[in-house]
Amino acid sequence: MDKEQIGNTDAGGSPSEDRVEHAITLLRTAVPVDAGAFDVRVLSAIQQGATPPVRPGTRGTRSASSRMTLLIGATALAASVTVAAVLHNRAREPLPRKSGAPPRAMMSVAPRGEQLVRFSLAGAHATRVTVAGSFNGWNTSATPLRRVGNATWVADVPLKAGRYVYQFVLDDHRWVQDPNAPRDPGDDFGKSNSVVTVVTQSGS
Amino acid sequence: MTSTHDTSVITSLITGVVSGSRGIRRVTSMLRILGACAVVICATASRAPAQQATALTQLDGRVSPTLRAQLTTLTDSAFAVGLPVGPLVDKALEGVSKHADESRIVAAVRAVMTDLGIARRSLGASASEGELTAGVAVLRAGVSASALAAIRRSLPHRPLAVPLSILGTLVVQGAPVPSATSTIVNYATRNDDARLLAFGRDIARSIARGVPAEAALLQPGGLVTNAAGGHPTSLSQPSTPRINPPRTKP
Repeated sequence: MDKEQIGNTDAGGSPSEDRVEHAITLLRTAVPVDAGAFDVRVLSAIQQGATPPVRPGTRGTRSASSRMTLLIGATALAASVTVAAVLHNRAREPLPRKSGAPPRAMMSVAPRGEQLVRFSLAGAHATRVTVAGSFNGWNTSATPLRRVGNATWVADVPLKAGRYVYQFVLDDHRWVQDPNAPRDPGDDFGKSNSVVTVVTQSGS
Repeated sequence: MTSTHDTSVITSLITGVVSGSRGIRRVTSMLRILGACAVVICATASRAPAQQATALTQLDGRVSPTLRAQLTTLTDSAFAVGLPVGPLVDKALEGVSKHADESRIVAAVRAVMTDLGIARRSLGASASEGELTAGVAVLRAGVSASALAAIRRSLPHRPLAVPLSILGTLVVQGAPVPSATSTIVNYATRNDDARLLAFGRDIARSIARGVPAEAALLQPGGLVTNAAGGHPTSLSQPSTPRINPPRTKP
């Protein structure tokens, strides 16, 4: 029965009714089943899908070998995942910040494994104050301080654990030590730097 | 780009290993495992040069080609003997930002490299970059290489970056090396860097307020009254730069 036949069916058409009756009769007719042949076909299908017989004495060896292969594969997989993670993290390492990029000092939340360190300088009469140090590649414009009072400037910088040296830069040219931080013993380029040591909860 | 390629290679190899099965496939899978291991080893071994290259990229656009060549020679030498390159690049960038002469920058970088070598001999070949950097500061503060080695012997398994950093700042403030060293080493055995840092700040603050260094060092973790009998300082008082407690994202 196709679409055209169904579409041509009308209310009083006896040929269509005959065809329907014929179909019903055919469906109701019992189909003879050869039980023996059916069983043979089923068993044959099962045997074709079954695993080949195992030779006596080789089952344990094969099992151990399979386990060893699985173990080595799992170890290699774990090592590879670790390396992939390391490579992925390396690829995501921030590049040295260019001037004009959003300063991290404006972040209010320190990323995992970092501490938010507040740099502050009081009594600095300047139009612009930044902090440059070993944490930002000594970039004199990357980390500006914001004025919070008449002459007080602050910046919150997320830093990983470690020892950092820095100085404040007033109006892009005047280098100033932090009066409240310890001094670095080195003075390779004039005034010695200030030091901050950061410890995170995850360790140093 | 390279790391993405490495990752994809590893992933494809491992996928092949997992999907491999009996007979010849087993041999193939073993070879693939060996290949994956080789890739893993190569990727690990290539990390150090990559770090060196990353450190050197910080010089791009900030130094002249002549200075860049001189610095590259120095960093190559440092890398060849296993010294970290980061502190050298950092020193060069400091000089550039402070508009120092190129000859002075090279001399400063060379001096840092020499001190890094001394620090490594004192602290051992396994010393981290942070330990070596702090070790350089301690050496420059006046602590001898033998004293630095003695600190390592006293604390053989403890990370020394923080203890050495604190020791350096105390010595710069005028604390005698022997007593400052013994005080810091004794406190460092507690293996709590946060408390050690607060302890060091407290001593430094006491010295800054006029307390004799020897007296300040003899107040382990307690309150120290300044020489003029003024307000005591405590471990909990913040100093500048202030380190805030870590905050979590909402």
